[in-house]
Amino acid sequence: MANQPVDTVAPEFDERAVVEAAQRGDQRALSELYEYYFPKIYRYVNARLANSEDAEDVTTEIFLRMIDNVGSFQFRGLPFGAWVFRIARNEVVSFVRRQKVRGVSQELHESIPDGGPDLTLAIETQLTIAVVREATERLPEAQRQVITLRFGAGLSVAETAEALKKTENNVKVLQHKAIAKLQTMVQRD
Amino acid sequence: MRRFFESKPGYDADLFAEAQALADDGLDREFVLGLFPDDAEWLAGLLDFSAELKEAIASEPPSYYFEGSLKSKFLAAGRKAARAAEPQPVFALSQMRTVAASMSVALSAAVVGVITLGFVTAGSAVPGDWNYSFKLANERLEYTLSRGDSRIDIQYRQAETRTHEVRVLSARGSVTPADLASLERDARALADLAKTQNLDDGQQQRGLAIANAALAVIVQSTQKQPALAIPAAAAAAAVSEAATALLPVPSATAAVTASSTPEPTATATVTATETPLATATPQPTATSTPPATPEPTATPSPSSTAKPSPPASPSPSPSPSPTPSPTSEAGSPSPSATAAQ
Repeated sequence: MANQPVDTVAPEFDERAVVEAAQRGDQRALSELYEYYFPKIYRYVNARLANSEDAEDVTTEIFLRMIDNVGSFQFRGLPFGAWVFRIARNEVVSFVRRQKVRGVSQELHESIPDGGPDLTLAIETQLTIAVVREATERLPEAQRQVITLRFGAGLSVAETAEALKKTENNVKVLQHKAIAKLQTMVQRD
Repeated sequence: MRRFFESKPGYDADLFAEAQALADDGLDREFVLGLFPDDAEWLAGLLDFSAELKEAIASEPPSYYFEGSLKSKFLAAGRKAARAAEPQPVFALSQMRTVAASMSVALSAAVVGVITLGFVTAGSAVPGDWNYSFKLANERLEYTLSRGDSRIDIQYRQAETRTHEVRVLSARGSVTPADLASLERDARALADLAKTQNLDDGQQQRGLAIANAALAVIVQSTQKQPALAIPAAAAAAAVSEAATALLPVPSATAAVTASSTPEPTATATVTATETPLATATPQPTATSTPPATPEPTATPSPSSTAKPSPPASPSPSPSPSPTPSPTSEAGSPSPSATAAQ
């Protein structure tokens, strides 16, 4: 998955036709939407949250919210992808807020992923993820949103701007600042 | 330093975004940096870090189990939502109106059909049949619309019909007191008809034939159903009265002959000879209704009309005056009495 090119320009299918079919309950269209958005959503959520269990919970909530509301979605200037990531962002934000209210520590744990072919490589990668997550947590919220959408979900600048209701220039500036700051933090750590 | 003075605010951000977009599209790192030779140094560090960042995030893929189970949940929720969104089969107002109109038309057609069938098949109906009321309604309408001789004809025909109905019912053994009462009403109507209308000979003969047939039917029904003796006696009395009223009255000729000739006895005798027809008719009542003897025995009054014949015996007396007196007893020959006076 790491080598998979991130398509941020447009889905490989006629999004409007697929979405309209999904709104009618077409299982094939729903399946296509799921296949397309699941990796992006999951990466985005996983980059934002401390562990994969939380990421799975929140990803589930996002997709169920999406299917509950897909019938009311209308193509009125907002791309479907942006609509989906607004749901995702809202779910992530509300989850993080709930966790903070409960006082749950967001400690980064070092769990070994299942089924990794090279254990050493897996541990190194896990450490890198842990560092990235920890560094990301120290970013301002706006920069964190941009980073996770751009490099977690793989959205383009334009799509990120749509999802966050910001201008593209704003997203570009936030992206630049966030990457520069993360780079500094990681190198310093 | 040169870049610091030359660049606009956000220039670096634009440049990095552009380079990053090219890298996202899968272009080679060196190729991308070659497009920005003046900024390649600082861009390289950021592009390398962003690549590591993406790789780090993507290195923790979701489990296959989670991906698959979530997909199942997602599709199941999609099916449920689609079922909920399906328009329920509701009757629009226009549809309900159409259905109501169709039902009313069908109902009207059924009613018309039943009425038509009732009238068409009512001809042979007898009391107790589902369409008998149609028959009565038809008869009433026919009677109401008729005038003069045709009304008399209709009355006769209806009396014949009642007689026929009682005969049919009698054959089945299912005559009721109401059927005999109906026959009695028709007989009384015939009696009234005879009293109020100037019936010709044909009409009188037809009326007498009906009376004879009715009496025969009444006898038949009481033989089969002895319990009907009382209503049968009443009906027989009415029929006898009608028969008496229907007897051809020689009054006119008697009056004429009485006034013209001093001996009208001959015509009186004719009357007497005619009477046996009437006297024959009361016979069944006498035999059939022994308990009701008071009434039926009174009815053979027609036979008393034969009384004029005894006065015929005083015919030797030259005065015609005795003739009117017996006719006054009988009632019907009263015109002749007045004529004689």
